[in-house]
Amino acid sequence: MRLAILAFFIAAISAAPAHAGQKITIMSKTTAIRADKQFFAPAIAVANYGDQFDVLEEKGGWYKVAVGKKTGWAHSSATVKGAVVVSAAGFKKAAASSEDVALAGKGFNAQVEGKYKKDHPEMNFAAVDRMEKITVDDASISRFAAEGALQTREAR
Amino acid sequence: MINKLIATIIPSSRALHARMAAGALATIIATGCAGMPVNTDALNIASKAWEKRETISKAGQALRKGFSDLTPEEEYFIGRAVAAKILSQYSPVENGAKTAYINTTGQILARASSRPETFAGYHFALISSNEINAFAAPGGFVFITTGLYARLKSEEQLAAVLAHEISHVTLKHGLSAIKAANLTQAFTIIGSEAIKEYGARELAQLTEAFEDSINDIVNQLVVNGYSRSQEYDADKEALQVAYRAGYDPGGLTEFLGTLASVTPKGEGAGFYKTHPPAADRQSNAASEIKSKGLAATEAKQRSDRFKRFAMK
Repeated sequence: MRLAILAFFIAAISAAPAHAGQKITIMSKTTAIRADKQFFAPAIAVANYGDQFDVLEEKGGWYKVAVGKKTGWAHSSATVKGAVVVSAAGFKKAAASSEDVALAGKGFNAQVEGKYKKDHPEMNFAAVDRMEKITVDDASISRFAAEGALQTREAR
Repeated sequence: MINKLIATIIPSSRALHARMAAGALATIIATGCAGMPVNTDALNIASKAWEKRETISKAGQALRKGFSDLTPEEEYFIGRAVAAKILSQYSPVENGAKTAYINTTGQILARASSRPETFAGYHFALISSNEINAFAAPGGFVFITTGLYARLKSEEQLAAVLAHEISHVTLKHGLSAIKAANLTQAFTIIGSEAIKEYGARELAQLTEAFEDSINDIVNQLVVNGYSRSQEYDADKEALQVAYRAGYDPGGLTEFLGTLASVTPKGEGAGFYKTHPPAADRQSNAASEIKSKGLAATEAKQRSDRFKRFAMK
């Protein structure tokens, strides 16, 4: 009986996910959660700045996370480890209590840019806004790569 | 008012304990990730300070020290302002076909870089100037001049130039140009008044530090150029990025050859002013390709595509 209990606990410990309890927070304005751990994999969802996820697995710079009933992968460069609540000064208001207001979203932010713009109307922020609006969707990138016989390679 | 604002970000001792007991704060301490290009130190530092119930003021003043402590969001706003200043000096070229071509090539390279995602992604623009020049503002705003574009002979060369600029972003070379005094000033203000909205006095001081930081970066990008080691590092990284994306990294050595023939003494600024002479960079890049086994071939489809877009 004791052996059975011991075996049960050993099995339970070994079955626990390696990343149990680890969280990540999205630190990009938006990022795709992809079906596989590569940029050419289809997006199953779009995560926003400040969204938090439990890490199910970590591999090759990607985190496996759950989105509803599905699972997908977020690239580490769009995240920070830990649960960080972003402030109202950023792009997402803190959803929880005022105590959760934040550590990110302060410093050089939209409010500072607003003052800088007002002080320097000659700066061409309108052109920067237009530049940011130019986006290339996944399908166009894949088509462009295929047409140019571009195949990704492993680092050397 | 200030106390009230600070109270919104500093949890009460009781609330903090409750949250810690619930495990909510246990995961706040971000630990960073070896080899991960996104800097998380600033958040880690602030989180640790929060946990110790120190004031954010102390955290800001004592713990955020250098450009690498800037968050991705702060880097983005700095990059936007640097880009706005560049675009007030150089007119953007409104050529839909070429802009789409440069952006799609750039996105493929960004995905192959060591930092595929920045706060708001990478964006590429052609700017009107006869200079042979390219700039990268922090966060991923990349510019190449029409003068440089006219000297390109292939998509591999375009990819090499874009990969070099992307590498300046991933290596945070622009941010490193901010003088320590300006950062210290900013971190001190941020630390003492860190909340939803700044008061008029703090906002004015912070904007002054912001403006000085922007000027430091633009001065480096447009006037002085990067250091010798930064250019070599960006070249080295660019070869890897181009290779991983599927390009022939030899596009960099070819373009540096063109640059060497046009600017034997490295006059000018930015890409044009190559602190290490272009011939030295070309030689270094060729050695790197050989030693790392990065040699590849250019597909005919890409050379044909480049010619098609050159006509547009």
